[in-house]
Amino acid sequence: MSSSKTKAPAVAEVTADDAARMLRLMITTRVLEEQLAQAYADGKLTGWIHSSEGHEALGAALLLCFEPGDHLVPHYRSRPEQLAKGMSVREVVAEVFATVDAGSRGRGGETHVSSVEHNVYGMTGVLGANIALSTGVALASKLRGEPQVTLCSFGDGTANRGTFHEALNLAAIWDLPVVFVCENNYFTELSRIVDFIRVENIADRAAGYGMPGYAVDGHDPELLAATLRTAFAAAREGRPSLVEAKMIRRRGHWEGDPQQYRDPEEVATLDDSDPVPSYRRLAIERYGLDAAQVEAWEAAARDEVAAAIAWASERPRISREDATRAVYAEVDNG
Amino acid sequence: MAERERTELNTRWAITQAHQEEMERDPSVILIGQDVGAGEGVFGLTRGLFDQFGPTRVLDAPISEEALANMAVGAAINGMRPILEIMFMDFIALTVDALANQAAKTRYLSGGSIGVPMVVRTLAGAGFRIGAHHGQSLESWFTHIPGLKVVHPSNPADTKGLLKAAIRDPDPVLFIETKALLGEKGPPPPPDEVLPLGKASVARAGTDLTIVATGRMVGESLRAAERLAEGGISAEVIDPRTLLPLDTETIVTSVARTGCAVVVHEAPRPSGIGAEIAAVINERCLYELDAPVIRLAGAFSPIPPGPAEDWLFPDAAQIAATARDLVEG
Repeated sequence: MSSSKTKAPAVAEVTADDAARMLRLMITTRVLEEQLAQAYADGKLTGWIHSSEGHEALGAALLLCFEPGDHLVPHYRSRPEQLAKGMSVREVVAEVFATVDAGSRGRGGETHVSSVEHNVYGMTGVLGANIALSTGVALASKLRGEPQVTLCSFGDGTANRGTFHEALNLAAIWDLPVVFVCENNYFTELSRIVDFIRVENIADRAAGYGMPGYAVDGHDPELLAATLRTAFAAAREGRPSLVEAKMIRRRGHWEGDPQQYRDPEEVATLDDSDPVPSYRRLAIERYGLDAAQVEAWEAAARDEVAAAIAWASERPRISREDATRAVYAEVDNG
Repeated sequence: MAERERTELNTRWAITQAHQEEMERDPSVILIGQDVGAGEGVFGLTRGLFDQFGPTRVLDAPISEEALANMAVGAAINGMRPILEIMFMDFIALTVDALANQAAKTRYLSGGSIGVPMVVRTLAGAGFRIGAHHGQSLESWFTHIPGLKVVHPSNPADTKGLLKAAIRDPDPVLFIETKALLGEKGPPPPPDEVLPLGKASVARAGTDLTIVATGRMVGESLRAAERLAEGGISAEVIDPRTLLPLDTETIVTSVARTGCAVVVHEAPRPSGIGAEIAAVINERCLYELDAPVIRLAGAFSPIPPGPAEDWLFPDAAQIAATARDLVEG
């Protein structure tokens, strides 16, 4: 799974402290998805929810890459990245529940996440628009001579949008400080991505735009961190990269997806490749993390997420009057 | 440039000057588009800008309209004021997601916290006789989208003053130029004039009927008004200039006084901006109207190449005849 066209460092320089931070974020992210799915199943959450279970290692790896002021242009299955960027569980939950506390003030919802404070621009619900939009964010940084990197994440299916191809080319020809991350979780909605591409790795497409492409095991936060550190360092020098993180979506495209398109044998083996318990084991073994401490983090994560969901469940949604405001600047700005 | 602006200004230079002045005033203004740099634009609208501002302010872009429009959104989100040139309005089809879903809705979806101060300039209308994919007027695709502004000037002074306003505006503006009018000359505006968006102009005052016209049809309507005057009919010609938001007050005030209205545009009639204008007049001036509101519009047809193009669009003679029938009927 760790094959790559362009070689990335195989070994990450990860300290025990890094490992602890990464594991803790993976735990929080997983607990968040579990409890959001339960809230949806219990009818406490209207709308929809797209689980990022299986994507946790990406958020963990980004923890080791983001500098203050960097920009994130996420997609709809990006809660690990949003937490890695510094958004709190409460901020993320507020947007999923569309309360008035959310970045959108209740005008967005799960697929429209933004945070001015944390430079998170996930406004779009149209897959692939964000890839091209991220090049503009990066262009602005570059033109002002700022060192910030823009991280843009998207799914495997979105790598078939025209915007992917146009945007990678623009990033390459204009030397933009951007890192593209394709979260290849094997499924594009209710279909298999292998039926929709004719290259082994989506990362192979990077060669067509003159930028490095890395296909790496997206369940391994340390390998991902090593690759992303390379990509971030290049981006800070104006060289964009495409990183394909190969992972497996553990749940449906959305909650309630009966997943009849999935092979039951594949589903039965999901736990063998689950990135969260496997990194939990590794972090304890390799870095000597205290198992009791890890259990305490797990308990704390459960409490934090439960409190955020309980809070969001009681918070007001947008008022009828505010539902049609903030369309233009001069009419209303809040 | 200074030599040329003394006594008259053509639309081409009005566009260039607006860019130049705003780029001098505000370092966050950048121009992106195909051939806008060293080539100075296929319509010659960006002359001198590349030499003056260099490749970091004037970006020659590949043929990637959808990504470029989204890129402009992203640059605007991150503090720039991009101007994107889409060479022919027909190609605006490639940017609709970026404009209608991203640019228009970002402020709303960020709870009012993230604005998108960008301008997409494009060239609409027939007149070059180059067929179905290089002469459409598609403004009404966008006057339906909350979050956008749509500007469509018809003379050099308005073009300059409104483009400067569009560049300074905090929200995304689709700025529609008329390629058949690029060579039109007119009096230059006062230095540094910035016209307000959302304000119509009374291009000619009159008392017997109101002609509301956009783009190239403003000039045709003014010529029609001259013919009508020879026959003793006094026509008022209103140019909305901004189509979204539409200055309904100026239109309603005029029609309430004249009692007759003809609405003229180059785009096809069904669901065109004329339908909106006629509806506003009907809603607000019903008891002042002496006759039904008449729409004159481009044919509901793709545009053929060559001289056949001319058959599809209203002209001064047709506007005058329609107006005469309406007033005398």
